[in-house]
Amino acid sequence: MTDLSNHKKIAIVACAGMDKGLGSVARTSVFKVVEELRSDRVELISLVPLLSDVAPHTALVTSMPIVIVDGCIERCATKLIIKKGGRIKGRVLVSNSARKYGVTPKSASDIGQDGEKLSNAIADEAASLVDKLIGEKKDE
Amino acid sequence: MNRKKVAIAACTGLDQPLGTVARMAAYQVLDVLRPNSTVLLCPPALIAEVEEDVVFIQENPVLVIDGCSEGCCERIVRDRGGKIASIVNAQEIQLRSNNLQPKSRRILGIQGEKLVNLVAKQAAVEVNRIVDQEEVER
Repeated sequence: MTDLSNHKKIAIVACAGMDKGLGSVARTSVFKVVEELRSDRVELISLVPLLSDVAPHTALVTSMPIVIVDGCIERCATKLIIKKGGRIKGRVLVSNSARKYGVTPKSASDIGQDGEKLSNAIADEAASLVDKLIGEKKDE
Repeated sequence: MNRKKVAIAACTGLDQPLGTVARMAAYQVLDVLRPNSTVLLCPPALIAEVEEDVVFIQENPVLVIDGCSEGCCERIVRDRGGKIASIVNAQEIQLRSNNLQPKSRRILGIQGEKLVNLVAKQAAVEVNRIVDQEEVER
């Protein structure tokens, strides 16, 4: 079980939309951060269990700074976390990154090679945000 | 008269590999197995009570593909008055299938892919059953 008093960790949230490749890229990139890049520094908040009031997501949202990876301009993840009282400290928007890197995911069910490249780049961006926030915390 | 389509609502939980299994199975049903008789539902839109999505689940049969025993997706659809016609649960299929273990949330691996195929196959069977039922009732 997560130690909620431990502020050396950052919570991370991804878009839960299923109908766009951008949402699938958001999830893939967040999985990479959680499972590979910063597994010891982040806790994953899952939107649907959070909104269905399933623990531990409900406790995590108000106890840790949050990094969000939104899929598209709708920014549903951001809106839903704000609604639940979360403190958003960093955000990545996949649609912006797609333009920046000039790549587009193939589809929602198969993001393809370009989608993989994009998700890797976004995972690196999100991991950097996590590092920055933890660095900021050390200075507090 | 337009035939009703089966709305597929899949687990959007990110904290367990079974959530990924549920989502990939849903995509397989929508893209490959039953593309002409299914449409994709968006659980976050239901939570946000987007009118179009709420009306849709009240007027069309819904097939829920849940990841685990929490049954979040089923609860979301039920709470918004959705007509749940059937539920497929990835965890239950996993337990009946030599406990096939997905590798991770991001990379399902061989066992995870096998589990996706089993869940998708079961879901496609349920789609057929729901469509037949709707035909009888018309």
